[in-house]
Amino acid sequence: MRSRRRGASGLGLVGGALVLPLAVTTLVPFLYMIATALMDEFEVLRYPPPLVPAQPHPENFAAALTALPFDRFFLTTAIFSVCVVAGQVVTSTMAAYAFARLRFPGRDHVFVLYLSVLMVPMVVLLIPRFLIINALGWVDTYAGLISTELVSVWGIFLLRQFFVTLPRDLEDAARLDGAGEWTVFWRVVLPLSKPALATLAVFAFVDQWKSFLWPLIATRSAEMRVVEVGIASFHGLYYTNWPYQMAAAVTAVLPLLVVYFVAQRYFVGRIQLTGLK
Amino acid sequence: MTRWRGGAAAAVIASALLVLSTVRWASVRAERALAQRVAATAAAYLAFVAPPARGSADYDLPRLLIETRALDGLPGFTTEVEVYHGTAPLVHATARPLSPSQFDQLRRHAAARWAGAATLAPLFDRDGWDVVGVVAAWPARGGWLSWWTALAVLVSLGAGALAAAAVGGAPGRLRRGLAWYAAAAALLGVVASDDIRTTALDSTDRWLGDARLLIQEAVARVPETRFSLATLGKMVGGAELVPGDSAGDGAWRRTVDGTPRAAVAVRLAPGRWAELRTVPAEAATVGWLALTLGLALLGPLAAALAAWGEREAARPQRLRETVAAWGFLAPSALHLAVFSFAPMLFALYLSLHRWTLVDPATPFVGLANFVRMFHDPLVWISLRNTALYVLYVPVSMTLSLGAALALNGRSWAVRAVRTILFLPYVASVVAIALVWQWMYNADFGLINYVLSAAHLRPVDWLGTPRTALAAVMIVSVWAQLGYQMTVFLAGLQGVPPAYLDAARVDGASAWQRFWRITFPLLKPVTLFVLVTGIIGSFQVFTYIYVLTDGGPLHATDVIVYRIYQTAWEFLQFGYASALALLLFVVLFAVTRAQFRLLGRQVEYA
Repeated sequence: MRSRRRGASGLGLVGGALVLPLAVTTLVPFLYMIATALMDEFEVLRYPPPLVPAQPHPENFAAALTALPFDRFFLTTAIFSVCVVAGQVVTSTMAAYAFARLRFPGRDHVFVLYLSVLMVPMVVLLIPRFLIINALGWVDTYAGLISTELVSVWGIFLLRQFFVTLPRDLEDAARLDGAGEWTVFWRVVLPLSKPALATLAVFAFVDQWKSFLWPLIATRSAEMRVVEVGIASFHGLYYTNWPYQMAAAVTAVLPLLVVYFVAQRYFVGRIQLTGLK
Repeated sequence: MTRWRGGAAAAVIASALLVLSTVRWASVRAERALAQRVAATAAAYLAFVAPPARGSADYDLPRLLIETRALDGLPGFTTEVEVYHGTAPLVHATARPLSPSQFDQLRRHAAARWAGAATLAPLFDRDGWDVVGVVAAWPARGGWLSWWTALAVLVSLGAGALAAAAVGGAPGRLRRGLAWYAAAAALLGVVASDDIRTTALDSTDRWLGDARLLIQEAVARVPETRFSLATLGKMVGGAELVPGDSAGDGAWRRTVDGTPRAAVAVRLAPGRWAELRTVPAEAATVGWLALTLGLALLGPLAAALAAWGEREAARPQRLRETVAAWGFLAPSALHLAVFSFAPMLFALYLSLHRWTLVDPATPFVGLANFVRMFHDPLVWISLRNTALYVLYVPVSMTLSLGAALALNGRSWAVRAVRTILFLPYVASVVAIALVWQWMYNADFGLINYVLSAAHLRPVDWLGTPRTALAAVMIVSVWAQLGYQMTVFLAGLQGVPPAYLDAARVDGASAWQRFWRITFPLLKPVTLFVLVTGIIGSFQVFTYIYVLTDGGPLHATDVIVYRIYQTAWEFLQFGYASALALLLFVVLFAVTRAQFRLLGRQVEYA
């Protein structure tokens, strides 16, 4: 009965009046992006602006994607994102486990020290980090692009919150059986935290795929550009050709949308992980 | 106990050895750099004084032979050189010839390279086109350890031995031993870095001396060049030759246009002097201090750890857990040390220096960067724009809270709308910026079409200073809405339905139920969304970079865009660091104020 009263009717009248315009507004740019991507270069310059292409021009995609080495951009982005996600998941789980489960002197101080990194705006670290990889000769290499991003304090924090909620009984049983800390971590804790790890991985992936400023300054050559930086420079080259730009934009949006629809349940998961219930 | 003592002793020796090898490494680097510079200068000198062979760009060989022999016997010239024409040695006719493959490589790369103990610089022909020979220079083997450093090493080793012996002893003795050892190690670090500095200073001076000799010799041999400093200046790469007064024999240091320079007086003719200026190598040795100090302090750190381990060995479970914990923490701790904490200190350091990447000298400028900030109108404009931009956060929060309340259900329609609203979060930021730029287009954009269909005046959204920032804010609201809504929805799960039902039974209206029950219970979530939203919006960059480039007329010039431009377009990294620290301070204050004002009833704030 309760569920019927509380919203089984779906959107109430007031709610619908608020939410439907928002939903339409959210969708329009995406649809317009696709529509423009299929239009003729001069068709878009007519008035009134056409909303659907008179005749679809799918060849825009091929033309736009070969105008710059987009295959290379996607490869670089994939390597960058996957390496960073793997690194963040490994370092975050290890550190979070230590903070959540092991007792050692100064643990809370060290944890606060870790969290203090979250207080510092990224741009403060950006300049020294760039100068460091520049001194190492790592500008415009995968090493420079990836190395600075391998640890996410936010990820450590989220996983720690999650590990704290796991029951200790299983670990204690494993310890009684003579398992070392590493075995407990690897055989007991990790299998229990797969959903949390998946959530962390999915969000880290989206964050890295969308990251712009660091790849912009850490790379120079076309081979090392990520998709975000690539389409931004495409914008500069084909300033007036909107169908090409929109075709490139659609291709940039697609991979993340696929990830979103495949892993949709993990996207809500993180927000519950924050302990905000 | 002996195990821990032995470990501490080994660490004491290892850290001293690390410091020593760093000093050695630095001095080898300095000597090699010196040899490379001298070889290049000598090659330029020979190209200058040796006349060409008839009908060829190559040198007249007998004259080249004479010049190279003269170079070897030049009084006061401190570097040992050998000159090869092709692969044949000229100075010591009986020396081993150069291997053809080495000569080939030099020809191909036309840049100085290392072969064994010698540095090889290409000798170009008179046209500066082909490599016809090689100038080899051997770094002078200098003494690299000053008496002071040797003494400091001994003191540090002695103090370390005492500290290691105190491991497992009385706590008072241990503490005193460690304190003395730490002091001795710090002294060693400082003295060692001073050695490195001295070596760098010496190598600069020696290059200046050798280059001066070569210039003076060149003027003596080709007198008509004495009036052309530009021609002579080509001999000395990486340095400048300017008119000057006579000023003694030795090199001196001075500041030119705010950058430190090492200089020496060159005598061109009686009464006619020039000044040869270069970047002093010792100006860039501050980083070495951090390195030697850090390595030297590893010893006391290890000794303290050994003492702690010795004490904890009595409680094996605790020791085991601590060791395991640090094992688990090691990757992230190391990474944070190198890529977060060190950069924080480095940012502070940078903000007090001029640092351009172009000029190797990075002079200390005190608070000049901060003073400049207060007189820079663009900084104030960008701060104002950032403050205005942040105002989109309450707007998107209100909308997203409303959407969350309306969508707090389970039906398929509700879920579909939620999915749609979340889409912008998983879309490429640049792609979003591009499509909005297209929709904002003044002539052909969708938005102006809708406006004119509603009989409103079309607006050049991104091209007018008055509307550009608002246009970017609209994009931000659009992009943030779904994410914030999802956080609010998660918060709504924590509102017990029983409270709402009870209120409903008591006749509370929907508005009262929201305002009196839901909203207070959502307070932690609201604070979370507000704080993270404001922190994020203070650092907006991508939208600005793609949509407006900070324009028109700086109307959308936000602080991070200013920092980006200062650092990566104007190459003023010191000033940009100062700006970044300003952002840090502002953001810190704003975040604190939010917790103060709104976080009072939130338990974890």
